[in-house]
Amino acid sequence: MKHGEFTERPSGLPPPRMSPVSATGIPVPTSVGPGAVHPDHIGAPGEYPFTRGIFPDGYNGRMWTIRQYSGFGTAEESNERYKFLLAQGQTGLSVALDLPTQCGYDPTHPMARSEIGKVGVSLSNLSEAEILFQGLDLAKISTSFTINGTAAIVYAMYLAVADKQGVPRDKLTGTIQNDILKEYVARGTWIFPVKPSMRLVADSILYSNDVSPRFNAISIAGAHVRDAGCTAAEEMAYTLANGLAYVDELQARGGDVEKFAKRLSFFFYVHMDFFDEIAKFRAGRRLWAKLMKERYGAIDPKAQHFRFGVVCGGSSLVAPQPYNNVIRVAVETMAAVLGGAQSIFTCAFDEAFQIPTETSAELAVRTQQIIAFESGIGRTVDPLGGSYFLEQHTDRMEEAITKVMGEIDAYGGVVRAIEEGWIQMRLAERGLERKLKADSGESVIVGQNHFRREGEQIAVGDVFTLDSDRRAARAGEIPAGAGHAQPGGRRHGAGAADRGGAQRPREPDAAPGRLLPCLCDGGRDGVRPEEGMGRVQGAGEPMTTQTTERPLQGKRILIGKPGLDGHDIGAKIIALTLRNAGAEVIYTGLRRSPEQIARVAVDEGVDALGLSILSGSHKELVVDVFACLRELDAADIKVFVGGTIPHPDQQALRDLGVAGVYTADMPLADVVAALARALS
Amino acid sequence: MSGVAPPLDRRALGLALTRIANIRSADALAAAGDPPATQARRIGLTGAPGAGKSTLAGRLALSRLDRGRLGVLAIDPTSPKTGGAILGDRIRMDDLAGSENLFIRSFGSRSAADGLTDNLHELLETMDRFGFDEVIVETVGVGQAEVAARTQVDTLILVIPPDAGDVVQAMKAGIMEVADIFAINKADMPSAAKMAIEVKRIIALTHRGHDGNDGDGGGGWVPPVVLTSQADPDSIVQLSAQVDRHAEWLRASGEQAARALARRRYWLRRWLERNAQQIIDREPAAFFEMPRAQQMTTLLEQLGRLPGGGVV
Ligand code: B12
Ligand SMILES: Nc1nc2c(ncn2[C@@H]2O[C@H](COP(=O)(O)OP(=O)(O)OP(=O)(O)O)[C@@H](O)[C@H]2O)c(=O)[nH]1
Ligand SMILES: [Mg+2]
Repeated sequence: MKHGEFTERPSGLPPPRMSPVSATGIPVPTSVGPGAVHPDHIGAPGEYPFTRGIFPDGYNGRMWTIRQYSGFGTAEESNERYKFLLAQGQTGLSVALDLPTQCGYDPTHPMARSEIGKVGVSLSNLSEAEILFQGLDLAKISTSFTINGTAAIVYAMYLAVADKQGVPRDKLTGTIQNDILKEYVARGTWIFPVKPSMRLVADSILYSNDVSPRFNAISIAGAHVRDAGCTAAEEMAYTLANGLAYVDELQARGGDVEKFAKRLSFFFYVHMDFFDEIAKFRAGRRLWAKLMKERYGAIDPKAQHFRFGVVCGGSSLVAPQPYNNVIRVAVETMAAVLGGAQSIFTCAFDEAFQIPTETSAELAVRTQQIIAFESGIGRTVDPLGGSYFLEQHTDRMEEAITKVMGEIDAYGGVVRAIEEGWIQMRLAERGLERKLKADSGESVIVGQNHFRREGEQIAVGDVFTLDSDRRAARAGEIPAGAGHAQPGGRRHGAGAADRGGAQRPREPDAAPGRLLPCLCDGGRDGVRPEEGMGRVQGAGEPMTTQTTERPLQGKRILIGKPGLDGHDIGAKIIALTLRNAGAEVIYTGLRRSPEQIARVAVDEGVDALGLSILSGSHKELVVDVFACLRELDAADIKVFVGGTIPHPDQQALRDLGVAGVYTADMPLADVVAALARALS
Repeated sequence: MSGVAPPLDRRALGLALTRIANIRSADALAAAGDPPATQARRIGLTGAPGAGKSTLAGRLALSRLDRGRLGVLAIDPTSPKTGGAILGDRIRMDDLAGSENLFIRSFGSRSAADGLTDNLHELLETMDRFGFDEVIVETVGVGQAEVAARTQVDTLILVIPPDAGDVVQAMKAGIMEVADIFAINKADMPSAAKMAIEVKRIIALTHRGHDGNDGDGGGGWVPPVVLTSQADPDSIVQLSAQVDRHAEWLRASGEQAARALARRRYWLRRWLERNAQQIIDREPAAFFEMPRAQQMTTLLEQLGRLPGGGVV
């Protein structure tokens, strides 16, 4: 199957220009001289404060790990893809899990039904974990899991598979993300309230340090806030602040900083402003080392090391002219290498609309290999060190990061800022700001807002499809009623985490096949710190061109997030935009069932229901929402859909009765105009 | 109890509320109709932004569901600049298991500057017509001006977060005097107990002359102070019990009737205010050149010409 063609309007924007300010907001001089360099800030590679890298020999001692995030469908399918990627020269695994696994839903739960195996592999019991790693030697391969709310369980599964393979636990290398703080802010797969979650994170880290000392039991991630819209400096600041919160918690739980700090790792995005990105990593490395040494008294250099993985691409990649994305990822990968990353994941060029196909995934690996083995930029450690401009930019970046960290401190610390939705609010504002800058052409996205031909037709290669028979068969194999959570049941898990006090996670040996239910039963009725929408009252207001225009005045619109999808920045941007156009907007928040959303639409007497779906489950969810609306005698409510909707599916949704489909490349003003027309 | 009421037609109610919220103030009188035969017990939740009103409203609603059909009307601020609003209150309530007997509805404050929304009176009467036994009203989070909420509800709960020391000082004269129950919320935070003491002290000052916190011996109502927290179901039960106690007092003391009268007065006053404001805002500069008496006569004439307005 091929992607369809889309005809686009030409941007009609003035020609792009080069901004004298970097993407993160740092002024960039035309020319810099030697006076800009402070030699004492820099140091030598492998020496405190590690501005120039944590190893004296850079990538000569150890190449960065090529680690492509991958996983979909059944354990068998993902296992095949891993073997394919390893055969292509990938050097580490990175497991993408499906949303039911990440959110702690059993595959048989109604909320999970349409999401099993969609955006990651489904891992609901130990036998699936065994299949996932079949034929892969866990003593040799390092595996990274992007898992947070249920990290302790997935880690336990990994140990159990290793045990079964006869691999000693102390030989295991890899990472569980296990960074719950940023889940509330930007990623959305939290399960319990903040404080008990922090305890669980700390306990699992300390446990892992003991039984699998080479395994990273946390990867403190800025990537997700970044991809949601914040700047490079904010990304680093939020991440370092979260890092400090974990260090405090670990110490409070009895951890020894000299020991656990060696196994803290970090994870970031790399976007397109080349020197911002390089400077961000250099400044972050320096700041973390200083904090560990000065604030916590860590003496062992390894406990001061800032080790990080990166992902290149993400929201810097767009759907129009998708092959341009290959070039973007190449530039970003170079920034990552020059910034000294320990592992790199390169997004595929079809990132903006689907899970990568085998072809696009292969090209992404090749991009890294070309940079690693043809370009030679990794030969010398920190080859740009001492550059007048880069050293100055690194210093300025450090100042910008420190400033944001100071603001968080002034607010009362990162946990409070998250619990009260302050960071979420800032992030939503940033997301809107970024989108408005793109719409106005101020920030250039080649092929989207600039240099886009009228009527341009783009064929985008293969469409990724899941083998749904295999998934269905797999779901059917799972015995029903094997201790799943009661929908609506709650609190047991959170209570356990509360009471769990000094306890360490249960010995994985004793873990039965099904581990998820105990988490699934957990306290979903805690805080909803991921929202913070109620208080984003001033954001983006008034919109650049719509000070007086109120095209949606008097309209009531519900924005719903059906299913387990945690991408909320688009929904928030749309909510704010519609509000700015005069509408009364109700936002459901994350993880609502089609039944709940239809009922809210009815109770709220809305004029329109807008669904925001980026999880790939749009068809199933839209069918369900329509069914629920009919059930409630409300089939006349107009339904709009936005999000990651691949081209062939857009018509399919319209055929189902959707009144309009909107994607990220459309200017907000056009979306508002279209809605106003449809609702008038 | 709503045993006799037919099943709730959510679709009809949802649409009716939308329609009534949109009625222009000029038409409000004509649309009002006769007062409904029965009236839901009305509980108000007010307090500063972020005090936890919505969270508390959700918990309180759930704990009172056994009393029959229950509605929550939650009001969020409308942006004066764009006329739009993000109605975020219900996000805090939707985590709770839904129920056939529970109906939650959000409103923008629209032109109302008193923490309520336009046509709230009519909206509440609509709830009455749909057979609700109780309705919880959450006001906009405003500092101290929302005394208006007082007139619309039977029992007014002021929600105070633990770290609002300065705010409480500022509120002394306004809302602190009219609230029936004080909920010191987020009691899981350490400063809550201290805040409770402070609030009790202020109550003792403003309600001097009555006896202790538990008694209403002199016939007066001394507002109780309840520590509440979303994490502590017992605290919600206690709050709920105080609501019942207050309802009982209203009935026994005859205060109920006085409040009903105040509500009627308020409705009329709001009707006049809104319509007068609209008329005055429309007048050109020349209007204000006229002698004052003539301005007044013209204004009154216009009011008299409004649909149903001749009654005034
Ligand atoms: C940013 C991002 C993230 C961020 C999300 C931050 C946040 N809080 O929102 C982070 C890093 C956390 C993230 C995580 C994941 N992501 Co992601 N992510 C993206 C990315 C890069 C951009 C999405 C985005 O925010 N775009 C900008 C916003 C503004 O656009 P938008 O949401 O589409 O909204 C616009 C329009 O669509 C429209 N709109 C949206 N909703 C509505 C509603 C109405 C009514 C209207 C009128 C309009 C409208 O208006 C908006 C403004 O322009 C895309 C790939 C890409 N380059 O597009 C992948 C992508 C969406 N992610 C993907 C995946 C798989 C994930 C994960 C599930 C991976 C995993 N297995 O763990 C996780 C988990 C997330 C979760 N809990 O669900 C996939 C989805 C695949 C699919 N659908 O088949 C994508 C496509 C990447 C890929 N190719 O694999 N992601
Ligand atoms: N610690 C703690 N936080 C709470 C409690 N109840 C609510 N919160 C948090 O307080 C914040 C505000 O809660 P809301 O219920 O939205 O407050 P509100 O008064 O309705 O806010 P507005 O309607 O915006 O004025 C949220 O972050 C809640 O999670 C509680 O009992 N304890
Ligand atoms: Mg509220």
